[in-house]
Order: sequence, then C-alpha cells, then structure tokens
Amino acid sequence: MASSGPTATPLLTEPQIEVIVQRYLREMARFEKTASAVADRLRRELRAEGHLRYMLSFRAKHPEDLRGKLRRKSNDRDVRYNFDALMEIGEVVTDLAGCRVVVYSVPDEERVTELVRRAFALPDRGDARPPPIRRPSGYQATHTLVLAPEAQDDTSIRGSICEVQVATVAAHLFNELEHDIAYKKLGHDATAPETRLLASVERACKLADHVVEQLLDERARGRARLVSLSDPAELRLALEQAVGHPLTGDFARLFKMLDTVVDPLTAAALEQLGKPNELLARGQAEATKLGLQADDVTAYVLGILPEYKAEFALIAAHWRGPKTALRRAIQSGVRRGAKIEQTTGSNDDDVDG
Amino acid sequence: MTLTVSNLVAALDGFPAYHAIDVFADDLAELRQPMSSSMRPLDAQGRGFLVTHQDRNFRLDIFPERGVARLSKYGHAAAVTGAVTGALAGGLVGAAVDAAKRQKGAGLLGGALLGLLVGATLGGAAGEARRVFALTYDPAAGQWRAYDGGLLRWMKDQLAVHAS
Repeated sequence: MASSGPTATPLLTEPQIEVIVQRYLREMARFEKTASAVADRLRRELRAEGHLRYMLSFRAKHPEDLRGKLRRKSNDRDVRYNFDALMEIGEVVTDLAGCRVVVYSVPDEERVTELVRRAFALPDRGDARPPPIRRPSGYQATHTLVLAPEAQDDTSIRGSICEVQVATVAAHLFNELEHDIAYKKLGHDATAPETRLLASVERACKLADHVVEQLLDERARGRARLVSLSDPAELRLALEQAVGHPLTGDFARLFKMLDTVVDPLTAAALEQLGKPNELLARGQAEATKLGLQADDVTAYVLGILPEYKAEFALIAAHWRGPKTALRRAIQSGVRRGAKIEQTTGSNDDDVDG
Repeated sequence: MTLTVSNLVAALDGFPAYHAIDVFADDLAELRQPMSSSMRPLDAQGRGFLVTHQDRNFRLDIFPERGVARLSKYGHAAAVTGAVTGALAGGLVGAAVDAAKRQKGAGLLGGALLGLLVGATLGGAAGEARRVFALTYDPAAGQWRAYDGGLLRWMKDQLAVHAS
C-alpha cells in the first residue's frame, strides 16, 4: 500500500506517533485481555482435537514495537496509517492483540487455521481470512483476524480484534530472524554475508518443513499398522494395501482364523507372517498341486498353512455347514503336508491337537 | 466343570509351537483345592510353582492381579525353595481365583473353559505381535477346540499375560 519511494515525506510526524502510542498505552489492558481470551478458547479447541501438537503464545503488542511499526508504515507512506484513521487504532493495526500457534508441519498449519476459522467469529472485513502468506522475503505463516470470544460476565473486549498467526516451527525460526534482521532492521542494515546466511536459513527451514511432513506421514502410517484390525473389512483393506490390488474370498472366515492365532492382529503382524504377495503366490502354487481353484483368501491360507497346520486343521474341523473350498483346501493341504513328512521321515505334531 | 494340569499339558503336547498356556485361575482344579504336595514353590513370593506331571516338569505361574494361571514347559532342574509358607502361597492362589471370578463376571462365559496357548513373537522382538492359539475345552469330548467366538478379543486381552 506504499504510495511512493522511501525518500518521500513520512505520513506521520513524531508527535503524532507519540499521541497514538500514548493512546494505545491507555487501551493496552483491553488488548491483553483480548489476546488472553482468544488464547484460552483456542487452547480448549486444540485440546479437543486431541492429536495436534502445538505451542501457543499470546501477547499485546509492546508499545515500542507499535512505535516502530508506525514509523515504518509512515515512511512507506502506507495511506491506511493516516493519523485520523489511527484514532480507532484497533481497526488499523490489527495485530495489537496477537496469538501465535506453532505447529510441526505445513498440513498442521492448514488444519489449525481451519479450526481457528471455524471456532471463532471473524470480523466483517476483507482481510480477515487471507490465503497462506508466502512472501518473497521467505516469511511463511497463515494469519486470521478473529473477534474476541463473547463472555457473559465481561463485555469490555466485545468486538476487539485479535490476529491469530499459525506457522510451522521451522518457518517460525526463519520468520523471527527475518523479522529482526530484514524487517525491523534492528541495530543495522543487514550486511551481504548476513543476507546470504539468512537465505541459507530460509532454505534449511523449507527443507525442514518438507522432511518433517514426510516424517509425520511415516509416523501416521506406522501407528496405523499397530492398531488392531477390528473387522474383516479392515483386514481386507490391510492386505489389499500390502499387495496393491483388490482381493477375493471369504474375509470374515479369514479374520476369525487369524484373530484366533495372532495377538494382536494388526497390519504390522500381517507383514510378520510373511509378505502377502509371496504368501499368495505360494498358496496359488500349492492349490495347483492340490488340483484346487483358489480365490485369494484360500491362496493366502494355503500360503501360511505350513506354519499353522495344526491350528487351521483344528479350526476347520469344527466349521459348521457345507464343505467349502477353503475347508477342502486346508484339509487337503494338511494331508499333503503329512504325506511329505512321512516320506521324508520328519516327525511333526498331531493335527488334531 | 474345571480344567486340570493334565488338560493343559495335553494342549502343550498337541501344539509344540507354543511354550505356555494361560487359563483363568478359577478354572484350574489344582488351584481350587488345598495346595497339593505336587506343587512345589519356585520363588519366595509364592507365584511360581514346579509341577511334575508324568515325570515331566512344568512351571505354574500365578498372576493374582489378573486372575490368570500360566503353565509353561520347564526343562530346568528343579530349584525348589522352601522359603515360602503354605499360607503365603495359598493367599496368592486365593487372590488369583477371586480375581478370575471378578474378570469373568456372573455367567459371562456360560461355563466355557478357555485357554490361550502362547508362542513366540512373530518378529522376534519384544512388544511385537505374537503367536497364540485361542482354545476352549470340550469336557464331553475330552478335547480342546479352537475358540473363535464373540469373546475372542476379550479373552485374548484377559488371558494374555506379558511375562517372560
């Protein structure tokens, strides 16, 4: 919103800036209360989500930071920052009350922003819910302007605006450095080596964001593999994901069989029984030797049958109803295994238990 | 109707891939009667006993908090301790029997006698899924059968004692 170059006359005089800062000082408690109320509500909402990891902080803008911001905007001749408009300072400087949520990953930044925009009433203004900020300077976060939550016993903050910033922990590191070095120009203008190093930090932070996202995806997959499969549909999905294509057969029967012999029955446990693709291939080969037409479940059972002969024989022996292909396959497989053992002289257990 | 150590040994013999069988303590006849001289304490706490069945040694562990008794293959030479008193051992067994009754609730199992054969972990590392075989004993047939009834998950949770 700057209207001319840095050499133009500042929009505000120093006495005007002083008036605005003094006026803000008198109102500062209200902005502190606004930020605190938004943080309290946000903390409850984030806890209710359960799975999100975050760091939450809040503050009212320090008067000297406001003074610095007014000077910069004035020097840039940002016309929004004219003296008359600044008499309603909260309408112009929208980060006087601020909350910051720092999260692990960019997808979490999106999730938390979505939650913020769902949980709070937003002010009726065009800049309340801007898209994620990805500035050429490297600054990266998502901002939302929210209204202070309504409280029955306290109307002093009603209508007050609070800026909620959500950023990843890596972006936060860069944002802070960039804010101090390039934006605020604390101490001195950035030297060429400082600028180069700041650019390196930016690249490292972007890489960290990328790797953290991959790591969290992998953790989520790992967690899912350790959760007990609760029904035949979940077992089917786990096996289909492992082999990469749809599978056929009686998964209700397979679920009961595996649940009887594996504790706990999880996707990770299935992998430990053997690679499903290899077990299916082994089972199909065995079915061919037995002269059986095998669907995928039957082939899978035949694939693990050498390890579970005694158990599956006992399980199938007490199945009620007609003799299914799966039952025939188990009984044929067990008989064939026993014959091989007799001819090779191996001494295995009694299949009847 | 109860199980006996002989029934548990039959399950271990029938399925050599497993090293132990867990049952509810109140289902085991030997724990519901005064402690017999065939059960000799293996530790000072009165939780582990040497049980000899047909000249073979087994170890019977009591888990009083869970109401579970575990019979394991026990190849070691008997290192029996005389330190534990009959009263101490009897107290723990009684606690295990009471806990088992609480775990099962009134009529939950309808008299079913359940056993969980326990084998090695599938991946060989602690904390991983392990090989088990859920069984129910059929007193009429005098045989163990596979159990895949509606209480299978509950049974695995209750009986699976993660002890070394």
